[in-house]
Amino acid sequence: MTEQSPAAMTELLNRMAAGDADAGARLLPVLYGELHALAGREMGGLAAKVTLQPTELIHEAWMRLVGGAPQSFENRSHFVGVAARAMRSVLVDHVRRRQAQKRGVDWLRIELDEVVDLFAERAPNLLALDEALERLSKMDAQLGRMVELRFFAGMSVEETAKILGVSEPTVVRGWRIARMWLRRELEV
Amino acid sequence: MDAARWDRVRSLLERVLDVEPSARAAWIAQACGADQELRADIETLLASDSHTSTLEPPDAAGLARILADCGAGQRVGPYELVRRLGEGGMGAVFLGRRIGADFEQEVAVKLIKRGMDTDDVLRQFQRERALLSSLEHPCIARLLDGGATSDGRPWFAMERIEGEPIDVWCAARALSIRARIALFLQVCSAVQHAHQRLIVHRDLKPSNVLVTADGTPKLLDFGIAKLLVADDGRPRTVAVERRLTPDYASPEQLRGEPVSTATDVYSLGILLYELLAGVQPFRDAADPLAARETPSRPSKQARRLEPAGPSERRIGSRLHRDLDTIALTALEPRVDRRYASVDALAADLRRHLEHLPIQARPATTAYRLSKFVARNRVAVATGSIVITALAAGLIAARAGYLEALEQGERARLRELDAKREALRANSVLELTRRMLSAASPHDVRDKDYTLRRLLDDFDSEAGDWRGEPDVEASVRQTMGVAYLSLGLLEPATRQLSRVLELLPQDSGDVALEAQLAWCDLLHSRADYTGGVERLDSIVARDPAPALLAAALCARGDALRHLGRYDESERDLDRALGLARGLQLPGARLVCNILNELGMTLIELDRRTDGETRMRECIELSRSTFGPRSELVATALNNLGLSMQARGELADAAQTLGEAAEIERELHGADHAGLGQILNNLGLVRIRSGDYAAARPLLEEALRIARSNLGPEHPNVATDLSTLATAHERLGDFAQAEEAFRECLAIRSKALGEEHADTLRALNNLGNLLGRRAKYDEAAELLQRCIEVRRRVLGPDDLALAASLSNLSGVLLNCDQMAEAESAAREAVSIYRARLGPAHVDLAAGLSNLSSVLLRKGDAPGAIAMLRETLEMREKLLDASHPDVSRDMTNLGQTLVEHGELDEGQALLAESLRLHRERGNAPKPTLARTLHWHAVAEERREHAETAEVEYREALELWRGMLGVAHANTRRTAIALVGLLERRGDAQNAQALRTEFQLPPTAKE
Repeated sequence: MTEQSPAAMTELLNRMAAGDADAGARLLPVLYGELHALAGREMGGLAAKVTLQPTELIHEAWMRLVGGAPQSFENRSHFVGVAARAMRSVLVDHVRRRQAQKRGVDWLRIELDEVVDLFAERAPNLLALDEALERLSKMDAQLGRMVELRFFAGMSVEETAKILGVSEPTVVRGWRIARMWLRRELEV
Repeated sequence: MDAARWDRVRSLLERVLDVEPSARAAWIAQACGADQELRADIETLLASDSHTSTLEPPDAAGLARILADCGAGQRVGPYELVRRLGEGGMGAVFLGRRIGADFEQEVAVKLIKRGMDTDDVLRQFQRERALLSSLEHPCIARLLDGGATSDGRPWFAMERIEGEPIDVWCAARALSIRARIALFLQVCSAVQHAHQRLIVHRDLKPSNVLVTADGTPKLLDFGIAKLLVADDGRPRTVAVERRLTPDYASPEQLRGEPVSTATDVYSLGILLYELLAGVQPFRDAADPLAARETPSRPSKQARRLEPAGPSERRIGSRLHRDLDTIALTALEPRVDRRYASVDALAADLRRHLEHLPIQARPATTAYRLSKFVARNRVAVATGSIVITALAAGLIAARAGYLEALEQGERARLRELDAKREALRANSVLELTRRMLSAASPHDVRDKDYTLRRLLDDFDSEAGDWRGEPDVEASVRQTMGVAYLSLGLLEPATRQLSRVLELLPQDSGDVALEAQLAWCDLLHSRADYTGGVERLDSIVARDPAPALLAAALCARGDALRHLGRYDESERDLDRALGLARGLQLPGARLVCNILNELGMTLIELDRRTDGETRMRECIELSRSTFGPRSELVATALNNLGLSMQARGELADAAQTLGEAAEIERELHGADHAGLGQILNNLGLVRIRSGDYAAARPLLEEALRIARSNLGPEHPNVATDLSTLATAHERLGDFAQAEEAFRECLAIRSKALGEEHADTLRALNNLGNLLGRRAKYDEAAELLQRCIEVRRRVLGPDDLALAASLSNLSGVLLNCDQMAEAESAAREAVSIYRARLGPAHVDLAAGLSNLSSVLLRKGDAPGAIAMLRETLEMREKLLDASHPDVSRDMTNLGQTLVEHGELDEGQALLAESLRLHRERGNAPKPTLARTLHWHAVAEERREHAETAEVEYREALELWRGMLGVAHANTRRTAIALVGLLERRGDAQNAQALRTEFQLPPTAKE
């Protein structure tokens, strides 16, 4: 994966926002790298063999972003935050769809199913979590975003602090409180 | 919890977390004080602080594994896998990019699942590689490369196709059956291309047939299946696993038997089935092999699916028996009964599209002839309407005759030499066959020519059918009937008269058959008297029941044309009794007789009985020939016309609509038969006063007639005339004039100056010109029309009355009062004498006469007459009929003019309401109603309302008639007067300039 300077990325984001599909395609790996820089480090042996490329999951998140109204992406952090929100909605939508319709298996479903299953180990009821998170965000927008970045986008404390522009201890404390509140709401 | 309270909770929580767990309870008690709720909150939240992994972010390595497993990022051969595109039984498909390529080459890479015997697959690939890369067809995705990954999985790189699976594509666009077949034919051509190179696909299914954005179907994975499946049918796999999609596999594949091109034919059959019926025939079958023994008909499946949606419903109703037969022939479980090649399957589909008989069906003559009639209906319609009606019945009657020949009817075989009979049958059938296979149906005139040339050629070429008089007679009779059905009366006469020469009078039923054909010819020439004479002699010879019934049916038809309705009924009754007892020709003859009988009874004004017969005909046709046959459409059309004549306009419209729908489904949107029905339907709409609905129907009818018959055919003139009427009623006078003039020109040329139809066009044009204020030309045309009508039709003719009535209106505008009054009075007296006290035409005549009386200054007489007119029309017509509101306007205007302001204005207001309610009401009357309502408003000193209404009327007049027309000027003058009285000199002056009014113009 080629390294992208923040300036080059902002340029790509702006071009994408202006409807340049090629820019979007080139951004995709960058976005993926942002979201999973931490994952790559933690993968150890696996990471050496596998060059991560955008999955259909991220791709769909991307489509949601691009498909919406043009947004101005001031910087990577902002964008990653938006992507985390999109990932959340992709997953939650997928669970809803899975509940609504039983028949008709396609490849994207299989892949998303696996991802959802992975999340479900940590949050058995993704829909209830989504609703609780919605309530939390109303009371405390910062905690809401923190949960999105940490849980749905898999951001590290360090990344989350950077994206939210707060100190790492603030993230650690906030994250702990957010989980307390969510656990109580979900009774898990 | 609100945000402020949460802030407090959160800050307490943050602080309590720094407190030693053992000291927390006391700390909380002190911090919360008396706020028990706050304390409970803090305590319960703290209780859910734990070190379990719930709500921890998922393991990133786990995510990575999922992603890795889906292969993205992997390198295979010279490609890098970008992302997964799809999943199949054999593995996953990825979007691949060539590594290090200067240009972005995107390919589809198929990565085969683990578990295949890679060496075996690769050896096979090396053997087939050259062959596979020789596949070059616009509908086949090219195979580019293949190999094995480092961990031993086979892969293949193919041209990347972006598209939707063919079933999804068709469903999403609700494609018509024809469009589906056209698409499917492209698929067939690709498969055939591969078969010619001995490459079998083996795994044809919708997900392997993608349709690109430009509508091109592309076949994926050609030959791949062969690489993965050993010749013995078993997968080249270590684990026992079924690789092929069983839903689309042929019986021989399911049995593990060797496959051939016939296997692809079978899979194409399933694909075709699915495209037609919207459902896969063997989906989820518990026993796939057993299910393949008895596939149900696609049309049945499609019908079963009807509630699923409108597209399915349409498909269900359009599926013909032919398509069922084609799909089921491709789906024959036994290879030797299947289509021998994809080409054969495709050829039958093409024949179906062109109304040709398909090969897959056991060919009976009746079937072939039914296709012949369907295909040649346009040609048949090139004759007059009479020929059309006759020809269909005629061909049908022949069907029974030929069927008897083909089946070697026993009695006749005993009579005649068997060998000669066979020769006769063969010759006739040979000719029939040639006729059926000739002639592209795409261009009518061209087709006439081709078919005609074929007949001419057959006539001139040597053939062993010559020499034996009765064999030659049979052949010539067939040719004669064919010429006749094309409306080519000269060659028909030549052939049929030769037949009569060849056959001795005493040669039994064969000679009588020929006589019967001759009578059909006479009827085509409208020589019903001659036909009846000859038919009398046929009937007197007491032929076999089938022949007798056909003869009586023909005579009944002729007698009706001669106005001898009672005798017609007697013949048709007798024919019906005979035909009902017959095996052959059976139901078709019975249906024809019922149809004829229905029409005769309707002529006898026994409409209920007549319509009952029509309905019986429809029911019998439906139960015998399916719900939507030609006969049903014809009978529905006749039934609709009868309803129309009874004034049951809503029923008529519905019935004709149904006939049109069937016709459209049977023969498409460009068929002459459909044009006629649409014309009838348009007429019904006009009679219902729904001119706006009538116009598009009539425009469509005209388009069809022109394209089928050429621009100068009398039928085109008929359509023009009806359309012009709609234009006229909608106030589009210029278009109406143009259409009437074209109609008149066609008729004068084709039918002569004194033909009834020409005169009607003359009358209509004259009347319209009067309305367009072209009085001199109008009067001239109408007087010419009246002169001929009086001379040809006699003094008490209704058509004459109509022209007189029209003329009086024109003369009135020319200030020839005395002539106008005498014409109007003559018209009314003809109407009263012929039509009784209440009739729409009488109402029209009275309305005209009242105008004359008004101009004469006989206001009380005029008002009385207008009242009579309005009452009559209110009784006869629906309240929403434009004629009713026009009468209201006429009476209201007159009353306002003569000071009866209250009643007059009330009528005008009601008329205005009716006009507005109708939306697109005729504009001239609306403009006039507005004008006079404004007059009444002005007299009541409602100047503002009056001004608004004058202005609206003025715009309407100007749009219809221009600034110089008297009506426009009258409203303009009234408006100027109003403005001046209100002191609005500036606007008044502007109007004077705009409408070129003199400075002191008075009304």
